[in-house]
Amino acid sequence: MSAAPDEAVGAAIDTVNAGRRYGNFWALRHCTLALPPGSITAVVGPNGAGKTTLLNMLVGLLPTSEGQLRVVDEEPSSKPEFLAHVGFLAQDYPLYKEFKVADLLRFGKAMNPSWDDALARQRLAAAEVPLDRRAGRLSGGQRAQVALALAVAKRPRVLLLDEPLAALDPLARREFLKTLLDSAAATGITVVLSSHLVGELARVCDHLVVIRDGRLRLAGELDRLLGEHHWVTGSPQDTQRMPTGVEVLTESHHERHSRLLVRTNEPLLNPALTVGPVDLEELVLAYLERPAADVPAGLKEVGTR
Amino acid sequence: MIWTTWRQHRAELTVGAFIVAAIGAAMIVVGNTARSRANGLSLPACMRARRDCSAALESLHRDFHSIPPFTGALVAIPLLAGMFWAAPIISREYEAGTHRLAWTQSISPLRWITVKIALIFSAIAAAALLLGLLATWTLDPLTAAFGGRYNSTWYDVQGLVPVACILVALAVGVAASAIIRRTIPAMAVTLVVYAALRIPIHWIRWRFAPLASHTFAVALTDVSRMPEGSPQDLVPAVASTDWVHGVTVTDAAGHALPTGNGNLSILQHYCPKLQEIRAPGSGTGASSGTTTEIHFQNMDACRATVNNLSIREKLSYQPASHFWFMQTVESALFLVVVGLLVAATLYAVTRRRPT
Repeated sequence: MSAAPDEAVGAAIDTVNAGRRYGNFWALRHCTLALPPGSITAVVGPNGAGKTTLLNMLVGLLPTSEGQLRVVDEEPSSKPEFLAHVGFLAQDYPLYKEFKVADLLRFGKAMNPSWDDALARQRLAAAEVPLDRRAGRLSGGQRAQVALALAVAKRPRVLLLDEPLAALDPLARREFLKTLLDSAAATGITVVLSSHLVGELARVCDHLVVIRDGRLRLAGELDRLLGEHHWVTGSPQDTQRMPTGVEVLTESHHERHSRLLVRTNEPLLNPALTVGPVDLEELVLAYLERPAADVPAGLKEVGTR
Repeated sequence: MIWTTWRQHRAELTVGAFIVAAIGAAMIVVGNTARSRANGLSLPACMRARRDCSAALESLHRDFHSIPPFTGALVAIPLLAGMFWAAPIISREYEAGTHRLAWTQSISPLRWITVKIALIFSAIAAAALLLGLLATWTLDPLTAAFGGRYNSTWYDVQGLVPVACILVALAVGVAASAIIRRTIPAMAVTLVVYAALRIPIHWIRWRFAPLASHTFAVALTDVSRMPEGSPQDLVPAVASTDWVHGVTVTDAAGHALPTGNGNLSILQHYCPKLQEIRAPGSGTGASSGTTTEIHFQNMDACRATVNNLSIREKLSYQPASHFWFMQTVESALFLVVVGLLVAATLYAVTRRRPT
């Protein structure tokens, strides 16, 4: 499913030119996105790119300095009616350290009218998190599981996760993503997670947002983005003459051959060129390394207005 | 939210309950002992009969001399509560990042902080009211022996003022916590602001009720009997439980007399030649300087001059009966400050700032 402009109306998350400024510094600017309901979106970028700013604005912790945000057709705020629709897992999974896990469940129940206690307990049992242990004594992976259980058990329509994988070892990462996918598949909620790690995301995400220095570099449906980008290898003469409509993202030239990363909607028919697929990590790196463009690539596909 | 508040603060609430129980038990013991001792000395009967009870009062003062340090220590409790309980309340959430957990549940930050403040403040206010009224009962039999209830530490631990003190300390702590968002600086600010609010009140408290006054005539010869003393020494006994604010001295025509140098100033007003001289031998600079007596040249001549002049002294004071009115005024004043600080806290918490 591609997020064409007409679909943006029903988008679970819809931002138009949203930005946040700290003094003279724009942490995020010109952010226009439309993410369909049920999608799982990875927001990828280096530390300080603006990922946390975007998520904090979406959950209503941070007001916008310009532009508009809509999350499940509501403006993010600190109103209980809005917060009930959004599950949020903050960076480093903050939990009350002196609370036992069972206390945290009671906290979730007390603070959320739509709380699904059975779901929370089932998730924690599956992750083998002991309910009588204090949160401060849990491992990083267990804390992440508890924080996720708290965010999911309030039965949100949108789940926002800020760097959920950063503090986890590879095994815990896999466990966490499995739990996340199970929850998302079972409930059909829209998920947005930010990460500076790209590797694990290919298996879980269907949408990708690349962000750096507060600007979107690339945004769109993952399969479509991967289908549009190709590695092209050939002699320097052949690779210099690309048909119109082919955008060259990176190029490296050697004596005998050149290697290009290109974006195109048309098939490349020149038999002198070798065309190969690109993987997620290469795609993200290519866009992160590119100098900032005024209009991020892929915006046409993601509901520019 | 009520359960969450209890779960987050049950350690402080439990410790607080133990402290209140310990202080309360000590006060009951002291109050009972003081009552039976005062009765044993027949002090209440003596006071009612307006006889000279100084022997009984001195005995009581001797037996209970350890009480003022105890009440002095109680004055520190609001400050400690403000620094170690209130100042971390919100800053701890920011420092641990748990505000992102708490404020993304289905509850607004406004409700979160309002319920928290309401619950903690009411529990503390109830405890402070209980202890304040208990202290009033405990210290009552000792009041006459220790110079009344206006003594600054006794005033601060009795009646309604303890409630005002601890609420203002908590409100300062919470406001500092919400505005500064870091615990240690919030504690330091709480210390400074609470001291700045509480200390000056001791200098302006006498204005909280209209002063009572008492005017009487004093023969100048009485003044001349103790030229080194102050006009206040000539005042006929006011009750030891009243709070003397000041004495003004006027001549028969109603003009104020200088009292800068005590009674000597008044005498010199009438006898310009009156001079202070050193006793013979003291001017040699010998080691006898420490035993120098002050003598007055021309004192006899002065006495003859002023023999028939009379002056008037006006004594202004807060009678013991103004205690509750003044306590109410002071408490109301501080509750207004508490209200402003709580409003500042709510504003700081709900105004969504960069996190």
